[in-house]
Amino acid sequence: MIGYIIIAGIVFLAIIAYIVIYNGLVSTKNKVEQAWSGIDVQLKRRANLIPNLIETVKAYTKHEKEVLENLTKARTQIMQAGTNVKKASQADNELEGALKSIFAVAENYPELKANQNYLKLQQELSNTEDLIAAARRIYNSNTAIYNTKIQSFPNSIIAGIHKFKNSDYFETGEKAVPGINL
Amino acid sequence: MNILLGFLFMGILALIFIGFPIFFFARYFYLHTKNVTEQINDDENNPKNYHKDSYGYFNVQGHKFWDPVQESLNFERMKRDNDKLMTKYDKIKDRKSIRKKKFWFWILGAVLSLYFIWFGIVSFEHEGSESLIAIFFGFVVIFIPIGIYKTSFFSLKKDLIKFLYAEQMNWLYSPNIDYSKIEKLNNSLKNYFAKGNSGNHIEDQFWGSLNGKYFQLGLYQYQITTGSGKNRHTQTYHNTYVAIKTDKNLDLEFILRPESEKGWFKKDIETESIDFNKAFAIDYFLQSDNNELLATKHLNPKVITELVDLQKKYGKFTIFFKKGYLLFLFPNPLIKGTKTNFFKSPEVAKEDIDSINYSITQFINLSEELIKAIR
Repeated sequence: MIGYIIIAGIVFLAIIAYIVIYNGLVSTKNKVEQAWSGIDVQLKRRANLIPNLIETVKAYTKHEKEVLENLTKARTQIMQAGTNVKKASQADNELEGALKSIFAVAENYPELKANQNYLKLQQELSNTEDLIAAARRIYNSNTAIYNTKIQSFPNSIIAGIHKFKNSDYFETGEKAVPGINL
Repeated sequence: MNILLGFLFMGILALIFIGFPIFFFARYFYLHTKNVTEQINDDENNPKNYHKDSYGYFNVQGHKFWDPVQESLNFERMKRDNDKLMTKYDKIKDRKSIRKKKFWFWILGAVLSLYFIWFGIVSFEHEGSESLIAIFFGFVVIFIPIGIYKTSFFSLKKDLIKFLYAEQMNWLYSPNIDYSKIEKLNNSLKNYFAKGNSGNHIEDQFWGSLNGKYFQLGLYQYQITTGSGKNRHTQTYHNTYVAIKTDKNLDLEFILRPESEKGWFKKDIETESIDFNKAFAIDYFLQSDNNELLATKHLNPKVITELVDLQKKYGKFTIFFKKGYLLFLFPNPLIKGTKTNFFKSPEVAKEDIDSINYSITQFINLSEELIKAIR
């Protein structure tokens, strides 16, 4: 009789542990997704500033068609990346590269550099980049916690049964927009 | 003869282990009572005090200062306390006097030491192991008077470092113990300054500005006594608080406190960051249904990462987001160890000045970052 009680106790504890581990994995996965949506919001916000920037730059520069086209292309890629972290990460790197070029080009146009609308856009972009960087750190930290959870024992068994997969890190380059004080 | 020597021996031991502690306790009690009486006399209605102007600043002798809770500043009292410090410092600068005192403390130690050794040798045949203890004690006792003398400089040294730094920066500094401020802070900050069951007070206060930011800083000290009888244990805690005036008024007043700190009124906050959720809990000054929504609005990714980094760097701290100011409460004192040695040189060590400068600048910078991030 005691043997049965012990076995029943062990089974009961195993079920509880299973539920706790499963719920823990689900909640961590949700946090990764929530952090991703934080990045997504900021990426879209930045992408929405690009058309305005292109229009402003266009008005002052006549021979920088290629730079502007690259920027438009990178923006489209960001908008199309959706929830694919790798694609979004690549598109973000390209957009940052295009932004760097456009700000380098702007150095040759003093009138553009003095334009209030341009300066405001530059400030907005710089703030958004800071927010993207912070959101990226949160996402990557959550991802590290989540990946460690699903790889460590005994979580790995439950993660395997329920097909929890490793989440990709969001990797990106340096800040593209120089910060300015208005 | 031996009985007489024995009495003398016990008398000296009693002086060292009972007499000195009683003397220091009585002195502390006297100064404490004197301090409280003086503070009561120097209350807020004192016409000589500096009062806040319509913008919330004190204009003291051409300089602007700010305080989160005080409506008036007793500059005269501050000056009096600083003058006392300077008088003590002048004595330190007089190297002859220091050397003379040091010499006499060494002589006193040597006399005591010789007496114990002599007592041990004389009574060796009768007392046996007790005599050996006396001889051993004789070698130790030589350092006791000079040790006591050097210890008396310990708190003075810390006060002087802060005072000289404040003077260099054109700030105000008060080394004095302030009991009345605790009540004001508790009224404004939901009794977070009522942690101890005794000895609650503020000391080592600074008022100043750095990089155009007005701040007020102080050391919050309290004691917690647990157990009773033989198991009674009192622990003293030192916290540093830094209040920084902000240009922006937040639309929600709230408190971020360490998640692990015990308390009934904390509420878990669910942001997108797992690290942040583990590190912080939230408390509101006024309860409302849309509190969480407003708090989440202020806790954008930049603020979240900033706060997580800060906790790693400074330990478990609490931040009060108030209308018009931010107040940080850190679980450690502003200055820990010091390099200044008044027995070698009357100057305050550059490392100590650099260290206090570094700490204060860090506090100001982090609040600035936080304010920027909240925008």
